[in-house]
Amino acid sequence: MTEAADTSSQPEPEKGQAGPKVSRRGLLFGAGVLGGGLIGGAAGYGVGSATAPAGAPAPESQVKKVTPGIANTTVNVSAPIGTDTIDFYGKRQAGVTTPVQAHGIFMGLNLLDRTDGDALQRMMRILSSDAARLTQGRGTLADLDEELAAAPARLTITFGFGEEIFARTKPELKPDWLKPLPKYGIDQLDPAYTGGDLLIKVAGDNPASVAHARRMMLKNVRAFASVAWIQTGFTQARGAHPEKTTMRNLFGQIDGTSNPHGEAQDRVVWGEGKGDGKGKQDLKPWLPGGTSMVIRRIAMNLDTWDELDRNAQEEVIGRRLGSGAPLTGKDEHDAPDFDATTEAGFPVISDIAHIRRSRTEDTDQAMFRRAFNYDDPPVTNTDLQEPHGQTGVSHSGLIFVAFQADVDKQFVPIQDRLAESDHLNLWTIPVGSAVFAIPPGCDQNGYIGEDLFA
Amino acid sequence: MKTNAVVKSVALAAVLGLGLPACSTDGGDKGTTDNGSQAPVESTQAAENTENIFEIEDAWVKATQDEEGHDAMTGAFGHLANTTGEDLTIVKLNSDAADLLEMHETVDGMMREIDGGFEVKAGETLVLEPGGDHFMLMEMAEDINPGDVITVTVETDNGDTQDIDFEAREFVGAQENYGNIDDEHGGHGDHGEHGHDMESEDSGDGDH
Repeated sequence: MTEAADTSSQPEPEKGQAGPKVSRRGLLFGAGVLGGGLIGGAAGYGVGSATAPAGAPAPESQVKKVTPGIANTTVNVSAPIGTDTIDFYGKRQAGVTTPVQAHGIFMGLNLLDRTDGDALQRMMRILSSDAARLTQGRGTLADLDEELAAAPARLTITFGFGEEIFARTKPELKPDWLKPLPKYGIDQLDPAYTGGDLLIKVAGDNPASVAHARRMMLKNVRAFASVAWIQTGFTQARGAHPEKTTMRNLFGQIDGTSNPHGEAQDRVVWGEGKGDGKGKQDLKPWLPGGTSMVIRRIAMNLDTWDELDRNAQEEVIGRRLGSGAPLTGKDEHDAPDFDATTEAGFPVISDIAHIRRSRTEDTDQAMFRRAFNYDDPPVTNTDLQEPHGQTGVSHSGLIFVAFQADVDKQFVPIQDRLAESDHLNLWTIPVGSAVFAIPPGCDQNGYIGEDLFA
Repeated sequence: MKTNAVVKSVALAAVLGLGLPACSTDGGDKGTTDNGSQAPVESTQAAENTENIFEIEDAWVKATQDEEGHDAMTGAFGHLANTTGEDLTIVKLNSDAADLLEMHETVDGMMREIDGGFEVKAGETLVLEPGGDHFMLMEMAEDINPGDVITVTVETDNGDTQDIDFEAREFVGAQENYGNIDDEHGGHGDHGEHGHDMESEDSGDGDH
């Protein structure tokens, strides 16, 4: 609750009374910055925001009066940023390949012993029903705080299943790849961030509605499961950069450049279609419209990273920090040239550079990344043993999240190579790990996971 | 007016526990009046007429926590909009889930059975909510677990009946209503009864 109150108190109060003013200030600010040439153009919003051309001017926001529930109160919400919604119902769950939001919360839960198949079905019915409401700007059933749902701001709620849910319902549906990842020498896994029977991912641009959704989901779940871990992260505020700008991690690296899109994404994430035709795996979704999620908490040692100069930092990855371009290219999305050599005959992209180690010719060996940064308070109490090279300044890292149709065929080969040799491993430590099957979406008459109860 | 639009657009989904993207800014109300009949009719009351009397919105029942089950009590809530054009009074409630059902009002934080049932005039909405008017279920047959759906048949003074589905949610509020049966019918309110204290606090605080 305090988290919600604290975070929402910054952007929220302006919304109601001063909506138009905020937007005017935004325009003035934008104009000034444009004059300086710093930003190519403000973000384009709206229902079609995901396809808004970069450089499109921001539309002036409008105040919408919204009634978020049966108490029949009215809340002023800024359109489009506050009012934008992402459909909950559909063939695939939202929150996988839908646009990335500013805030994300991942919750791992363990089923109570008494939670049998019937109870799981009830649980998924009410979670789905309330998720549908919250993501569309409406309070849940029995919601005393429905006003907190009024500005969904692209809220998505996504569910994932661990092995135990299959064990208690339909074991025959469990995908072979649904199990812990292989043990890697680089791992220092903390039980506080590892495993779990049920995943609930809540993400959105409005921290208050995200916090409310998190709470309502946990309230619904508490009769069935207990919290195993919670990870809270962020990317970048909506509007701070043009739409579709790839996020930066806290090493300053543009993170997620090589994510597949279009047909390649359909194949890599959902196991559908032929992608670019260069894949060599037999990819199938575990259920049509389903996928998998790997979540790894990666501690990043910012303080030893500081010891490198920028050139060295760029060589670790094989990309420029500023543009995200490969060291052999100019723009972020240029294909890296792994054969290029320096005058002295050394590879421009080193043999242990992250982007070299993470790629193969087989384009099926790929994943769709949806990472969030975390930035926790540094541990200053020296009595506490805090691993991972913390120096009391930073306690930061990445909630690394990857979606792919088949963990064993796509994720594990890449992770094997990176664990074996990746220069970046010197500054990063995996401290949490979990794998979940992401069920397909559902329609308004159904609920997430219904195939396990049919 | 806005209420009516919302009522209609979410009624079916709420009754079925499906949830619905019901941004209240929409006006996508088709005026359908078939929500009540969607419920599987298994009532002990032979419903001679379960066509809609009320448009139902957000019908839910508090899941019971009583390990013993049999004597558990609980409350059912939601909005019932009378769209029939006639003034109605709900005179009777029936449910397989409970042997005894009453209609309760809350006055000065004290709960009591309402004389003659809930009157719902044409075009008005009966608001059943924790801390206010509610359906009270007593002598429960079984525990109501979160996610269960129970059906309550309401009967009006003109003899019509309607089955209403209530989806169960775990809820730690609404405690004032079930605290002490002996006290609540006394209705003195001369000292801090359970409900009174709760009621004077903000109800949104009830969760932890």
